[in-house]
This record gives sequence, structure tokens and C-alpha cells, in this order.
Amino acid sequence: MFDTADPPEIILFLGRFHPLLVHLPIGFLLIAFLLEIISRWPRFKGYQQAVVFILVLSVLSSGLAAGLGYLLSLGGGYDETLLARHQWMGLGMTGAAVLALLLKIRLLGHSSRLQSWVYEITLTLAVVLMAGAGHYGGSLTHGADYLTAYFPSSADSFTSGSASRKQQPKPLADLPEAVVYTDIVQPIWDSRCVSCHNPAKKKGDLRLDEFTGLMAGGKMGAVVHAGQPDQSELYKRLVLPPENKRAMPPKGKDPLTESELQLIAWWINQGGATADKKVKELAQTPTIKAALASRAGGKDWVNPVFAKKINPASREALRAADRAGFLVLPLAKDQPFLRVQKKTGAPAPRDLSALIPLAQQLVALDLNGIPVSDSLLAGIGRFENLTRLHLENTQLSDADLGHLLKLSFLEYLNLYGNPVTDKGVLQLARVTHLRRLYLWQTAVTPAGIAALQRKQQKLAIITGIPVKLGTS
Amino acid sequence: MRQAEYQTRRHFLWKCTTGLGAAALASLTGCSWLKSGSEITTPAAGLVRDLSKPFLPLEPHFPAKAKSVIFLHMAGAPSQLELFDYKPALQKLNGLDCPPSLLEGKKFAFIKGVPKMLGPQAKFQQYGQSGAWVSHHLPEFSKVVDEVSFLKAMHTDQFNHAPAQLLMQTGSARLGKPSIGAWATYGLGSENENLPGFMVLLSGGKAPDAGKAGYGSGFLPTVYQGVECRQHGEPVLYVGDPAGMSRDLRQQSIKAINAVNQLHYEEMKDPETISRISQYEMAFKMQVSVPEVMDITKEPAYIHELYGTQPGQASFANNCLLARRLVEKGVRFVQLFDWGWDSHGNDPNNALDKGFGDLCHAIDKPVAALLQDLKMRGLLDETLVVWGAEFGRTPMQENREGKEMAFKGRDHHTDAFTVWMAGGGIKGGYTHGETDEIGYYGINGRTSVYDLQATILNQLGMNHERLTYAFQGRNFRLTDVHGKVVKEVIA
Repeated sequence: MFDTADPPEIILFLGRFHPLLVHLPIGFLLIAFLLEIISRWPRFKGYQQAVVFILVLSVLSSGLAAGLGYLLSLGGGYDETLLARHQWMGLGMTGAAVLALLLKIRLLGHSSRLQSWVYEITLTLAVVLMAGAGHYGGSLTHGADYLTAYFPSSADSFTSGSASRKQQPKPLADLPEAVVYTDIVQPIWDSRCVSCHNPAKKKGDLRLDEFTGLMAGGKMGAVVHAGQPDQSELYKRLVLPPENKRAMPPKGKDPLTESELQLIAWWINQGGATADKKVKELAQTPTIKAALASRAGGKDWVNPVFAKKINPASREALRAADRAGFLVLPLAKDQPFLRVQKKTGAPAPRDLSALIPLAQQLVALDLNGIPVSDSLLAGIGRFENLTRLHLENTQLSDADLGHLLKLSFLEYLNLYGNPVTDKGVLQLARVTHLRRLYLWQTAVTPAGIAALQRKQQKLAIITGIPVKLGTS
Repeated sequence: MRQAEYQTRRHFLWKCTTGLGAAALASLTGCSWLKSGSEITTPAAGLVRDLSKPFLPLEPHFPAKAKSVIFLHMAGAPSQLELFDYKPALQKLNGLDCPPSLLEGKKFAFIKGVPKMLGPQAKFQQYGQSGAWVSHHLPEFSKVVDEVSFLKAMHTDQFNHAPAQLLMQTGSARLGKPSIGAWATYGLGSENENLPGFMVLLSGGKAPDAGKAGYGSGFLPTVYQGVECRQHGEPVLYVGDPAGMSRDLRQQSIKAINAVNQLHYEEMKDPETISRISQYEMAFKMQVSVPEVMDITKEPAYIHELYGTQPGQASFANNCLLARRLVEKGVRFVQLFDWGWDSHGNDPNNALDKGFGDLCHAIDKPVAALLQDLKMRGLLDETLVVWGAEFGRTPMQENREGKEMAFKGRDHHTDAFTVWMAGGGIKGGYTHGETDEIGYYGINGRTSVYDLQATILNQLGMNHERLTYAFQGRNFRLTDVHGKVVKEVIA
């Protein structure tokens, strides 16, 4: 009828009403089926009379939907097998509906047992075919694994929400050794593009699920020109403003982030076509370094404390801590985690006993300026979930630091203004998650810092301007 | 007397009807706000604050990266083209007529006819690991660029100082909206009971053009407005007791006044009365706390050396040091305004080829010192520092009334300017956004004033779309219907 390669625009315009109209026969047919079941009870017998009318509607709407579906299929870009199944099941359903209607009309005049039986089978068949056609239609628009992607694979996934299953590119453990295409560029396609550019749904005849598909190009030929991002159709489309109808991802979906675009441009600039280059082999500008750093493992590290299941603190425990002179603040709405500091004007606490009932919830503690004694710090190991600890200006000594080694989730430790030395601070290499350590105005020497840094490479040690102890 | 005026027969009847009606309504809807006591209720839409404790800390929407904000606002708008946005191509066009395509449909504050292009009036170099471009005007700041994220393609829609400052600070170019500091203290409270949650420090000899509305409370209860501190004499006017007034007597008199106000509140139910009571209480505490925190004479010599501060002087440097002291004490939002950056070319004190360098010199060391000082105290990790102005300046030289100006200067420019942020969970050594080769428009990563505001609230743990206040029949928010968090600069 039409040349399938390039159908007139009106065909596609009408065809795109298929997904809209297709829901009408689904509803009508189901209603007819349900009415038939319900009218078996004598009380609802009257419903029988509506069935013919509804079946007429089913036949008309499914005929129309099938016609529009054919027009839509002329646009191309669909997986042939899936499309064929969808098409024949859809047509089969339309046929079954027509047959059911004719049988029903006959049955109205004089009821025969056999005909009634045939009619019921036909109607059921129409519903079954409809379910099948619907399923394959869904696979065509949303991708074949759309339905089952979030199928709970363990008991835990019923409760833990879907956040962890979002298609976020995994952080890279070893950035310099990462392969630019497979580890950096392909994950961008995987998360943002392949839902429309996959073997089943090849929009624009372009596949982005693997390197060869990308290199094969799309309807308009090659999409990547090595060294020339501005000449590459792929990149050009990505940077178009979202209002432009050629922009990708299409209007309504989030555009790629700035750093994703920078990384793609960089990959094309640095040769593009090569699939096996490693990050360290390619020249990096400062912007690219920053964009790469956002993909590196270290930055995305999330403290495991916040994944723990912890019950909210009891009201009595909160009140008791408040009475003892502590300001207890929730970390955020609807979270059990707490941070604690001394209330303004309250006397310095002598011990932390009032906080013990909150030990599980406490993630940040500020003891800034409170002279520490053995009784204050000895029990600090109980607060095993602490991630931030302020101990600046507390007359803390090397011996006191030993108490902190049990705090395995500690990320931030402020020790400025304390007479601690190299020896004490070196123990902190054992606090594996520590990321920031503040040592301004301490007795720690540059040699001590270098030694600690060697043991803990990810630790940022902040010292500040040199000031001798006791001059302040 | 006033109370007696209301105790009329008509008033009695009115009270009977509405009072009973309200009670019935409350019981029908299960509403709890008519109950006595001071429990805080947070219904789904917005938040209801107990105004007798207006600074009570509240939990943020999500875990905050920053506890406090220091906003350094350079009132008058310094030229981004002489500080951060290096445009060598503009040098080649220096002295040529501006092409008409750049002028069509544009409004300028002063440019008339066809102005000439003006090349960068500064020498630029790349600094730090990140290779950020900084001009020779900021030698100290160039050492700390790796702490900073630049937003190079900021834009606004106001080209006059006062409305643009209002837009930057309150999210609206017109008067009457709360400033960002007021929103922040309203949403989060303050962790220090003895100091206001929002404090304002001015330098440069004049207040910003937007006036006190730039740090006002708008339709929020007045207790959330920024408290302005002076550097000469008493830090806050009349904070001291007059001769013969002892602190005990002051306390008693405030107690008595508050008791009367409480009675008045119970009668009239005007929430501003409750605000007034809490303000009296705060003022009494401030009589001790403010002179203490504002006294920088006890800071050690190396700190004065670091910032270039001189106690008793009204300077931006002193304000930077004070900002650190306030944040250290738990003040939520510290707003600095430094006046005098309006480099049109008519005033040698700020002309790009004359006094501009001196203005830069006066902020360079203090800003770098502030970042360094916050960092070594472990405060930069939880304090967001924002540097910026209400708009930028044109790549064209200003030609007021179509005539050549006495000095080199640039007109107000809304389409491109630079703002930077540091600390408080912001990436260090990062640049977001880019302008075209003459710095006229942002060509990618454009960010609006609302985007900046949304990002500041985000770092404080608040969703800018959820921090609302019901006023005149609808919920208002800082960013109104705009704003998108600039996720790229978040670490």
C-alpha cells in the first residue's frame, strides 16, 4: 500500500493515536465479560441486556485501534517478531469479538445450549487474546524487560524501596585503569538511551546497547565522527535545547547532565571510535578531571550507618538528654538519626550518660570547648554509629584518642586546639572510614602528618596556618 | 483602657458567636491549633511555628550539608570580566564599535547609541589544581580557588541595583518578600538561644540600594528579619542599659512588659504580639551576647594579620572576621553587604582603570582569610560561603548620554555574571557554566538567581519547593515558581 521506508506524515500522525484508542476495546471487552459472569446470578439477570451494546462498541473500537496500529507500524523501528505477535493477537481478538457478537445476537432470539457454550468460549478467547496483544504492545513501547525489571528478587526488596535499583552508573573503583567506552560512556547510554535504542525498539534505526550498534549508525548514517563532537550527529542531538524536536533524549525526559555531556564530548574528541582506551591514556583538561572525579568510587561513598535499620529514639530519652543540657536535633524529617551539642548557656556536662539511651541514633556529637575528662570520653565507644565528632579545644590528650578507635563509622574528626602529638594521631589510621581530620594548633609535626597520610591515603588532613601552642 | 473599649455588649455577642463557631469547627476538623500549650505541630503543607519560641531548631527536610551560610554581597556589582571571566577575544575587539546585533531589543541602565567594546582591564592567570582563571586583582583569593565552585553563567532579569538586590535576596524585585536569611531561620531556627539567627553586617560606607528590605522578614513574623550590627559604638543601637538602669531592673521591667503583652495577646490573638514578646526576651539576652561576640579585640594577633583587620574600624575585613565568629557561635545566616562596586567610569573611586583595584584589594585578603580560617577550624565543612552581586557588567564600555566617560567603566549587565560558592557540601575547584567569547551571554550551564537560592536552601537541608508560608490566601516560597538546584556544583 505505502512505501514502508517513508510513509506520509499524516499516516504517522494518525498512527500515534493507536496507544490512546487501544485502551477502549480493552475496557469494553472486559466489561462485557464481567457482565456475562455477573448475570449468572438471578439478581443481576437484567445486565444481560447491555451485553450486545457493549460488544458492538468492542468490535468498533478494536477495529479502529487495529487500523491505527497498522498505520503506526509503518513508521518502523520496532522488533519484527514482537510486532508480528502483537499484530496477529490483536487481529485475532478483533475477530473473536465479532464472532462473539454474532453468536450473542442469535442467542437473544432462542437459546440453545450448544450455542451458548460456543459463545462463552469465544468471548473468553477474545479476552485471552486481548491480554496477549496488550502484553506484547507494552513490550514494544516500554521495552521487553519493563514489566519484570523491578520483580522482587529477595524478601528484602519488598521493603527497601526502589532507590537502590535506579539505573545509576556504578562508581568506578580504579579510575585511571577504567576503559573509557565500556566503563564511562556505555553506562550513560544504558541509563539514558537504550530504552528506545535497543534491539527490540530501534528508534531511528540506531542501537546503543553495544559498541557495534553505535558504530553501525542510524537512519542518517554514522553518528560519531572521531575527533569532531560538533560534527557527530549523536552529540549534536544531545546538546540541542529540549524544545527542539530533534533533541535527545526527547522532550519530556530529563536531558543529560553537564558532566555526562562533557565526558561524551571528551570521548569523541579523543578518538571516539576506539573502544579500548583507558582513562589514563587520554589527555584530560581540568573540567574533564572534575567530571571524571564525579564518577570515581571515593566520592560516592556513602556511610553504611545510614543504611542501618534504627528505631526512632523514645520521647523519654530525648527529654532526659534535654534536661541534662544537651541540644538534641534530628538529622532530618522522618529519620531516626540525631545530632547532639551542648545547649547555649548550659553547664559543661561531666559525662555522656544522659545520651546512652540515644546511642544507636546518635550520628554527630559536638563537644567543642568542653574540657574532656576520662569520665566524659571513656564511654564514647558506645556511640558506635557516630560519623562526625567535634572535639576541638577540649584539652584532649593522646591517651584520650585511644577511646575513639572503636568508632568505625567516623568520617569527620575535629581535634584542633588540643595537645595531641604524632604518636596519638597515628593510631587514627585504624579508623578506616575517616575522611577529614582537623589538626590545627596541635603538637602534631609535618612528619607525623606525612606518616598518617601514607597509611590513610583517602584522609584529608587539615592543619591551617602555623601557630605555636599557647600563643592564643 | 483599650481593653475596656472592646468590652461592649456588641463585642460580647460577637465573641459568643465566633468563639463558639471556632470551637465547633476545631472539634469537627480535629484541628489542634486552638489547644493551649507550646507543642509544635507540622501539618503536611508548610510548617507552623510556635511563635513564643521563634528560633527553636527544627529538623530539615533532608540531612543538611551546611549548618550556616555566609553571603558576601558586593553591592553595586563588580565586573566579572575583570575578576573571573577571562575573555581574551574581547581584547581584540577593544575600542571597536559594538555590533548592532548585541544591542537590538536590549535595555541598558546608561548605555546610549553605539558603545565601544572594552577589553579586559586586568591580567589573568590560571591557579590551583583546578586551573581556575583569576585576575591580578585578587592575589590572595587565587591561592584558595580549589575550595570554590564558580557559577560563570549566572543571569538575572533586573538591571537596576535596588530591584536586582531584592531579587537576589528575596526572590522578588518588588518589596514585601522575606529575604533568604529570614526564610532560612524561619525554616530551621537557630542553635544559639542567645543570638538572633540572622545577622547583617554592612561595609563600604553606605547601605545597599535595596535598603533594609534586602534583609527584611517580608510577610514572615518580624522576628525573622536580619539584625544589623554596627561597628562603631554599640554594635546594635540601644543595646546597652542607660546609666542608673541595673540588669536586674531591666529584667524586671521586661518581665512586666511581657506579662502585659501576654494579656493583650490572649485578648487580641495577634501573632505579632507573641513575636514582640520573644523579641524583648532576645533583646535582653543580646545585651550580653552581642557585645561579646562583636568584640574582636581579643582575637590573637595572627588572626588580625590573616584577615588584615583593625579593631574599631568599619571595614569589610572586620565583617569577615565577625562572620566567622558568628558562625562559630551557631548563627544560621550571616549577610554581608559591601557597598561601592558600581564601576560605571564616572567615579575614579571604582573606575576599572583607577579605584577598582583598591576595592578588590580591600576584599581580597579578608575573603581568602575567611575561607582559610573556616577551613582550619573545621567549619568550612558545614558553612556555605557565597560570594556574588546583584548582576554583572557589560563587555561594552559605558557611554553615558552617548558621550565618552572620564574613566573606563562598564554598564549594568543582566545576562552574564559570576558567583562563587565554597564549603557546605559544594565541590572545590569546579567551574559550572560558560559564557560566549566576549562574556555577553551564558552559552551553557546558565543558572538563574532562583537556581542559586534553591541551591543555598538545598545545602541547608531544605527543599525550596516545600519551604512555604501561607499568606494572602496562598502558599509563598522564596523561589516562587522558579528555581532548580544546581546539582553539578554539589560534592
